[in-house]
Amino acid sequence: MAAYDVVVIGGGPAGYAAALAARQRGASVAVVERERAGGACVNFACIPTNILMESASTFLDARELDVMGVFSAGEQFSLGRATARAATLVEQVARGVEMMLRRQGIESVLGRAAFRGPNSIDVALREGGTEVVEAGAFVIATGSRWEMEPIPGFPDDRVVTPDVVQHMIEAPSTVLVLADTDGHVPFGAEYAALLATSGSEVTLATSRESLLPALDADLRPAALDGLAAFGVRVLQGARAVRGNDRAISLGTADGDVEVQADLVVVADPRRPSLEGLEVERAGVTASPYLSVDQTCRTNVPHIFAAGDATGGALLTNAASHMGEVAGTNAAGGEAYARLGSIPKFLHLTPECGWVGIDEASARQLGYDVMTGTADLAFNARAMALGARTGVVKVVAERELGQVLGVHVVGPAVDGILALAAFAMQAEIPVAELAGMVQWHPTIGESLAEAARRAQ
Amino acid sequence: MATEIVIPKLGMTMEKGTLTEWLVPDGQEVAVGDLVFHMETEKIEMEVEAEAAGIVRQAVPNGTTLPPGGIVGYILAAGEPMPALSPAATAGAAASVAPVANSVPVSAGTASMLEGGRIAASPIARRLAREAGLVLAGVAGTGPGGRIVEADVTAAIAAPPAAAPSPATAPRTPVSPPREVLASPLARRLAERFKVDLATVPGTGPNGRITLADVEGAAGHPVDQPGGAPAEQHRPGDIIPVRGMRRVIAQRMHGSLQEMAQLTMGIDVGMGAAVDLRGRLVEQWAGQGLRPTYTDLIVKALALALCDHPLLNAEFSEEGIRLLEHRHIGVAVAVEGGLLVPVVRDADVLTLREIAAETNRLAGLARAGLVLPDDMAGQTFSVTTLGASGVDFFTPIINPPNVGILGVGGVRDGVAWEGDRPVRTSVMTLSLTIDHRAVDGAPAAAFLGTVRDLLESPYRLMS
Repeated sequence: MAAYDVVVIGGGPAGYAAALAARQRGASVAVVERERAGGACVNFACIPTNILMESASTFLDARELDVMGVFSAGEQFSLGRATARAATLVEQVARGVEMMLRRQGIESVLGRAAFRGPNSIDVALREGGTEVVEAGAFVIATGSRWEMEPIPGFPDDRVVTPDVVQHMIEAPSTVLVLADTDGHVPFGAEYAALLATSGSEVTLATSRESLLPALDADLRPAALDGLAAFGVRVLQGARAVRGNDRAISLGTADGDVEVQADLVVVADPRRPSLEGLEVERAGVTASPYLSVDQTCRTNVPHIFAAGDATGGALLTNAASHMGEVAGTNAAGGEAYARLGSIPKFLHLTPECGWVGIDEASARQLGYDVMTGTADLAFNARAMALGARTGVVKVVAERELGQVLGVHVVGPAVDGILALAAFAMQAEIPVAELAGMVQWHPTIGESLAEAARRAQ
Repeated sequence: MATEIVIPKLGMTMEKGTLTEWLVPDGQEVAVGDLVFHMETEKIEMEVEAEAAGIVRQAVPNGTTLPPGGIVGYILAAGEPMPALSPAATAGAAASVAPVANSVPVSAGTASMLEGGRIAASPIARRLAREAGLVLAGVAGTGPGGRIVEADVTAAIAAPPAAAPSPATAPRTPVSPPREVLASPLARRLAERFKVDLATVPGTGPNGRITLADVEGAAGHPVDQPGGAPAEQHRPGDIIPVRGMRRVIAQRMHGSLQEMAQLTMGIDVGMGAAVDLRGRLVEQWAGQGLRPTYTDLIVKALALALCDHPLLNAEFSEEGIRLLEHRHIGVAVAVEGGLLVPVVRDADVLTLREIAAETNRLAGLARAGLVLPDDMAGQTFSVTTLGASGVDFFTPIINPPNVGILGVGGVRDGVAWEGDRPVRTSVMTLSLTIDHRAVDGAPAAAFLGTVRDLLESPYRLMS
């Protein structure tokens, strides 16, 4: 039997952040992981997606290299090469996580955990046998798993999740991507763009009113134009109702639409992954998510939870933040989770992202709203990058000058989003954002410009 | 010669002081050391005494707020005229009156004050002074233009307060230096507005930094941070500040009733089939940890009924009645100190199972204070439930800019007649409030009838 101050169940972003935070406070820490360190983020989601999207957007850029004075490059795209590269890099990142934990003196236990009682778990070890592990505090960070509902009439084996696409060698000729995402970030858009780049005829459908409901309405057309440039057909307000061997019927307000599909990619249907954990034996209630308070405590004071298992924002950055809070508190510290100003980002061309709320939401919530926009078409760096469109929009309230949201579409706008997220998390007033001095020419300058125009 | 009476600078973070009350009438004679006025800053209250003897001439009324160094009046010799008020004249004036009480050791000197009341000092001098709790306004500057340099602060720290050149400048009751408070800029702004002393606010940000939400909490509203400091116990006689969530609720509800012509109607719904269906779903979904509620059935019924009655899914505005394309149902969730209304988007196209998962997720996050702002905006219609509290009928208030809201009562036993025989039934009352500017009674009643029919034949909710 082994005993630790803190045992973290799950080695994804929430889990390793929790383990590192607890270890940093001097606690003895073990992480129980049933598959491979890194969780969904490293193995099936953020990391492989980002690597593959870099291949896709490089290909798109390469088509216009002659404008830059570069010739004879980028005529073909090989999905097989791109996925092979992604697999290699994912392996490196996962090993990096394992090594980082080991260097910090955090024990890794490979196996499946099940609670015995409030202070102990059984771990069915991957190498065989069972080990009892005791702890003064637990952090449950088991994440979420994809769970697909079948489409009546369409073969189940041709409805797949993104992890299957990540290992494809050749793209199917017709694909329907369904992007109904709980967490407002439609990762399906990235897979639609990737497959379209690879030569598939792609339809991207969402049953929601808008593919990007949380992005400010002023910026949505630019983001959708970007998808059209990849060759993706977008259907909003369309829900898959039934299928036959080769096609899917989508119900829309204007009647049914039939879409050819050799394959259906369901982007992000997630449910908390708690099966077999027997949390109720520790007195923890799950319904189906684990409810936590701002300190990431469950209803049992020494048992914490973080990341997707809590419903949270179903995003890696939220999971890491909650993990750090949970780990700190599990080791006797004091920290509080704040998810209101975490950035959201899609690695498309143009890139698109936001942090906070849009103008319409701010007005509906009763704020005295002021907005400012800057057109990236006049940003010298954006011009050098060859971009034709791009917008930065700042949403703020008048009373205190609080920045409520920043929305961006354009080239290299992750820099703007990083600045905006920092300013909002640090609660810097919009006037100070407006006075910020940047290097020239950079994309970041446009954030200050939009802030200056906010009135 | 006229001696200026100014707002003294007390600490690095002081941005302004308010002359709350003159303690000497205009024109009265004072001696050195007499108390001249009472003032307050964000952090402290204090009395300021005269350093010169003469006749006090007030230049500003009670309640005037000025930056440190701002002139509030003069001490004049008999018969001397009052000088013209000039901000430039503040230079060198800081030592003409001395703060009493509170604060920190002050040694006399002539600090050089820049425009806006900022004292000229080197960064190292500032840091040293801050660490020693020394007020720079009292330190004599020997650098260029009277700028305070490191050596001046070192000397001032070395000189004990008792050895200060003038007894009037020595504090009567020395207390600990003002605490350096870690707080976000917006938290400071709000604290100033709410008159909250930041030194008393527990910070929940990184390294205990005080955030906007912390100040809202300290101002009587712990609702934004249920995991943070425990709610205060209110006692009779207390005045609970109307801020944060409370203020939003107050403004929106009052605004709603002022602006709209609200009409409420009720209808009884036979819930027998819905009770059976929910019971079956509870069993069927138990393995997935998913427990559907009556609210989930009602959200779905409401969304489907809105498809048939588009006039109820609308916004009333100056231009006209705008029919909305999508059916986003706001579900009121009671939280500590108020309520939040997270939104189930496109509830008409979500399956009942998806609705159950989504309402559960949103309600949990709302109660934990973790709900994302994007999840709380955009509802086209709302539902609010008081059934669990034993209420059957009530008059819900519409969430602007919607034109309707549905109130849900508890499921109770009722009686129906089968021939002459009474049989037990399950009944629930729905209370619908509409904006009569947009919708009339008859179409509203028809809509309510559709909701009832869907709940009485709930298999239609399973499509």
